[in-house]
Amino acid sequence: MAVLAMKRITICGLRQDRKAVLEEVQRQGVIEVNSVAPDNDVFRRISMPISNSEFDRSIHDSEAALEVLKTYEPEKGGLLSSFKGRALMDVARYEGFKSEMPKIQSVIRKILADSKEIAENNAEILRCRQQIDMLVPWKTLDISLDTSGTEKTAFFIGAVPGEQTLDTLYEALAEVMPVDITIFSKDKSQTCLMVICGTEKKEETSSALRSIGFVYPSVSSSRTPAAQTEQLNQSIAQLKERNAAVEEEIRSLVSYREDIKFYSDYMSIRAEKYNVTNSIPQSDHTFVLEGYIPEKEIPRLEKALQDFEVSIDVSDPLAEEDVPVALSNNAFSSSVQGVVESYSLPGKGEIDPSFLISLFYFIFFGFMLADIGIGALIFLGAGFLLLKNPHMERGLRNNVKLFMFGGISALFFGILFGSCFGDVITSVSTNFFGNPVVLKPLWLDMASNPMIVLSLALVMGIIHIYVGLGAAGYQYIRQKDYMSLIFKVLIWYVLLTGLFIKCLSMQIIMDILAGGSEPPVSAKAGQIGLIVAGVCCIIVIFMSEFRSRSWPKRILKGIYAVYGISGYLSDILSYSRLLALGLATGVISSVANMIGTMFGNGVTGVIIFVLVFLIINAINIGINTLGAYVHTNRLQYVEFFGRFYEGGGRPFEPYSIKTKYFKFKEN
Amino acid sequence: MIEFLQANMGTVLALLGAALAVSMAGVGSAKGVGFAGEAAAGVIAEDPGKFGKVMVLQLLPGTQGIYGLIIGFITLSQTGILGGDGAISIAKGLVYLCACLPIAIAGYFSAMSQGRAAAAAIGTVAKKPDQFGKAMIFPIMVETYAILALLVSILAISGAANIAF
Repeated sequence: MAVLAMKRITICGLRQDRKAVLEEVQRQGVIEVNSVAPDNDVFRRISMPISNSEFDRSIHDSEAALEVLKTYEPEKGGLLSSFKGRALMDVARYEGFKSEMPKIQSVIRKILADSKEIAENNAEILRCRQQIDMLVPWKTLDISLDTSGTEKTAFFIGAVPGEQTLDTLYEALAEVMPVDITIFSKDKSQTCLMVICGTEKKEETSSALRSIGFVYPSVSSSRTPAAQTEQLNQSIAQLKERNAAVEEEIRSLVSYREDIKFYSDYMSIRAEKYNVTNSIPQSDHTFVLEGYIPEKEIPRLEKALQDFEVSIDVSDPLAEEDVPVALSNNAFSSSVQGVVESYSLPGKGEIDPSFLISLFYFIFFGFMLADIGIGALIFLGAGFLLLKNPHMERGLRNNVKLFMFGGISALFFGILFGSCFGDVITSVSTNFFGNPVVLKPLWLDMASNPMIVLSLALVMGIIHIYVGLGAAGYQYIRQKDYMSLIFKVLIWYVLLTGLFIKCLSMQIIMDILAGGSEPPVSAKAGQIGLIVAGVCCIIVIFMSEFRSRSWPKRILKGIYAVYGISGYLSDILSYSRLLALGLATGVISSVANMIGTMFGNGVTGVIIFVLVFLIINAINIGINTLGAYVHTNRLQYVEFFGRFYEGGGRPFEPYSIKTKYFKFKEN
Repeated sequence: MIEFLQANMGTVLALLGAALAVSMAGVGSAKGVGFAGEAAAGVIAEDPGKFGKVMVLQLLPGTQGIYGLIIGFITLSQTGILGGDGAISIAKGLVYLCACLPIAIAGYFSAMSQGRAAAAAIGTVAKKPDQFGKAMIFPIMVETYAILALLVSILAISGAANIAF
């Protein structure tokens, strides 16, 4: 339950050990490298001969090759395979991987070249098809489109715009007669034709044709259009055959998929190592590695490096340093760590709120679902995923655990409020067996006692906010800021408690919330509560901005701080969503039961009931689990964090083995 | 005619309330989810891997329609329109109609505004997928008001059942 204490570590070693030490540190993965010392005459950063872009290209190529393999031979994997997590990396293989690399590199090159060839062939097929389309109007022409004439005659083969007839064409060419005109095809946009004239009239005919918009065809060939089409079809067939062969070749390389993934990871590991090597200062015979390390990891690192001639120096980070943040929690609280991380990591001087959140998270989550059936389904589903996938990635595992705990809580609240898929037990037993069985709630029925449940929701809100305020107080104590502790936390406890006592003494409040029962607090006590609250308000006005030196400013800010009472009020009312969402789950299930039982108790009735029940409850689970999740988050982020937590911490990013497909060791 | 009205008007008014709750909140949600869906589809065109996240954000304005359904359903079953002898007084019918109004009106407008906030949040996730947690909070802020309306509608309807007229 805590933010890990970070230390600044300096490892100084002999340059001949550099490679081995850096590899060991990377394998331990506990140091965030942060070398701030500038270069000088003795220590300077030395660039490695292999540039980063080479690693990037290797990784990029292997990813591209994997993508190609996926296109032709998708990876098998069920719906749930994404929960599986990465396989363990074979360390022995990693050590000797260098000898395997040339083979895998050539496979990658082969796959990429093949994929390029397929793309080029496809482009060529497309081009052939376009040419075939262009030849269609000429299919009855029995000479080549390029024919320009014979010894005595000139041929003009081409098209004129618009849909022309022989009559209109002869008319247009009247002054260059005699000519012979043959029309091969025509449509609205063009008329394809051949004009034959004597060689002596070639120029005149040409200019006459040009004046009516004659153009030569955009395809040319020495064969007749029919022969050319045939030829193109043959090329297409050949290209397709070639593509099939190439695809087959790619498929034959699918067995290398795991090797390529290994290669990609191997390159990522080396790229990370080279990055670090480039960034640390080195002298002629030594190197210095500086960075941050969680305090508890220091002994482990020292043990790992004991065989090397290195000096390890640990110190406290300076106050102004931007120290990275890492959280560590027990198995239960770590399930909400993702919720904290997706808000923001703790900033300077702030506590890790994961433990506090885990105390309330599941209560609210369960309250908002409050159904035995749905809770049990979520619990069993999440539990099944956890059991079946022991290698699940850490972040995902935490989230699945979150839903598992949430499911248990929903089950518990379902028993408390007597809801199992709404009223399915009652409606099934009444409709199909004619013998009503009522599921008795352990405490009371939410729908018929909404005000009592609302009061409970608001009380939970008050407790939640009090705890948040307490966390703020704890932070002030840690910072030894006792003035803030008194005037920003303790005073508010007294003020709010005074107000609540006053509320509890008022008959009108009891009429609304508790069905008109006697106020539990006497009017006199209420009076005292109000007076105490009033005094606290005055103190807040004068003291809440105790650091401000200008009195008018201080009082104005103090008045604004008193206005914060309305903030507390609206925050507490915000917890009414616990009731509203809790009711929603049961009511939707009840809608399903009511619709389902409308069709009698015959065979059709049963079938319709089952269908309606399954469909509506599936939607219900989806939408209400989402609702419970987001609204629980909101209560934490807005109402709870608003009291004490700002975040803004920088995540701890250690120099480690960052791989995509395999993991080096269990985390 | 007047007799007929006296006998049935209460049921008609209650039914009108249920119809308003379901349809107005439903239309609002449809608009909100549609608006967010347009933004979501644009993000998926660029990066299909974000489907899970943007879908969650798109769904957020959908809840108002469900709140409307809840109120409509409770009204129908309490006034006897669903499986019962639908005879309630005009005054009681009016009470039910008014009880339905909060979720009808607040549901309609909050769903549309929430849709816009959700679309903007989808834009945030498109650029910074790691800010999903924060992006989700902004549309949820809008939803609070629909929940408050739902609460008052539920309380009013369950209170109306106890009124004797």
